[in-house]
Amino acid sequence: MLRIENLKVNYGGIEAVKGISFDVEDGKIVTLIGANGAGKSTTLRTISGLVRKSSGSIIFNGDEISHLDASDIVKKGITLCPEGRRVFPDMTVLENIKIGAYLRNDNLQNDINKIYSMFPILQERNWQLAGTLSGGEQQMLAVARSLMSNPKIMMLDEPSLGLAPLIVKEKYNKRY
Amino acid sequence: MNLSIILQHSLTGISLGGSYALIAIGYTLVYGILRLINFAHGDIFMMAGYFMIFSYSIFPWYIAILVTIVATIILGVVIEKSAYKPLRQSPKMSVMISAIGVSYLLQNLATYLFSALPREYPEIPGLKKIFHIGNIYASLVTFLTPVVTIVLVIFLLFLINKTKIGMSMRAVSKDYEAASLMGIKLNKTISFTFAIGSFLAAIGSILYFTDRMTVFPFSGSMPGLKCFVAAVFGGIGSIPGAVLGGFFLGIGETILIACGQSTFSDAFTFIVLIIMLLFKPTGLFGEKSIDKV
Repeated sequence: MLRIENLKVNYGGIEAVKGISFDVEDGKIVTLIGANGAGKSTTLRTISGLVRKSSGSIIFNGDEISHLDASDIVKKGITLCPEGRRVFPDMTVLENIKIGAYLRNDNLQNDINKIYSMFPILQERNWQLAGTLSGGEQQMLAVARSLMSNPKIMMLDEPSLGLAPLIVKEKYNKRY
Repeated sequence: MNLSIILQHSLTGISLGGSYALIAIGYTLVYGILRLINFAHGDIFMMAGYFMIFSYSIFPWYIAILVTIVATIILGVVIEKSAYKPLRQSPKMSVMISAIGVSYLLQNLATYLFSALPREYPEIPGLKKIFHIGNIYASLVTFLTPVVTIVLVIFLLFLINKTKIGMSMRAVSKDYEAASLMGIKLNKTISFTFAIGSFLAAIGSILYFTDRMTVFPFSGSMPGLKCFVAAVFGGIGSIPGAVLGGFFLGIGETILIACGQSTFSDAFTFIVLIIMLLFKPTGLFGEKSIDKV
């Protein structure tokens, strides 16, 4: 489904990713593990179009996508839930969830309900500004937001950072 | 001074404040999204004045207004695309200097093309007609300006808080990267912001110049500076702040003139700026940035 071939990325003058290759197959979970500074986040950010590669290729369903902008890559069905949550602090929880579905024009209500049954705490906080949530709640919101675009591939950067272990377990049980 | 004179001056002040508010919103919107003080904004406002003069000589007034608005929007968006967009990855200072460059470019271009002599601003039929409520006499434009301002502000707040494009503007102003991860197109959103700012500047320019009656190449620089101060006073980035700042400066300035201190009417603006920066640099409604770790 997604194939990374010999991907190299220069980032701030240093070679942050030194030729990584891997395949992501349909229905599989692929995990990148490495020490700090190994280039995990940079790899994900490059796939999502936030950072430009210096060489190599990123092929999604047979198409080269490494030249596309981040917004076009989301349209293709690859979403990144970024490190550090990055929710929109002065939007409400509901607005944050809705903005995740920015590119969709269909009815969102079913999916919003699904999200709320997955993370009941977010429903309670529906009208609260996202900036007032606790770190863990913000992380749930960030994941919820990414799910709303109905991605074919979802990349999670440090998804369990700051989450209660129970939620982590619950989250990993959701198959998407 | 009796009551009717005070009311008379207040009305003039509110009216002036209304046009200030419309221009100040342009500063605040662009700052909100690009963190850039668009120094060319006052000159876009001046160019809108010339657009009106020329289109009015060709078209009937209602089409001339439309042409002015469209031309101003195009000017604003083209400036963004040519002078700011290529500097997206550069330090903020470079973009700001580019904005100052555009400001001088427009002023000198206008001098070159239209000469430095003031040109008469056309009179839209009816706008200069004198009305009176009780003992207060004023032209229609004086009554109309605050009304138009309030209507446009309500419309703008609706646009920003309730529509999808507004949502994308708020998202981009908070976090470029996260917004683009949602599928929001940065450049489209930024262009749209400049379009709205220029649209408001065009309306503001029609209301302002109808009252002033002449346009010359530097007639945008002082109102531009004042409206920038209005935006800072209200808390740059905040729309209600810019509106309040616009009205505050407009009214304050008019009161000074009414008291016979017209020499200090411009100084007033900058004293306000200095006091605000000394005691509350974020302005009245300025955003407090909270970094949650």
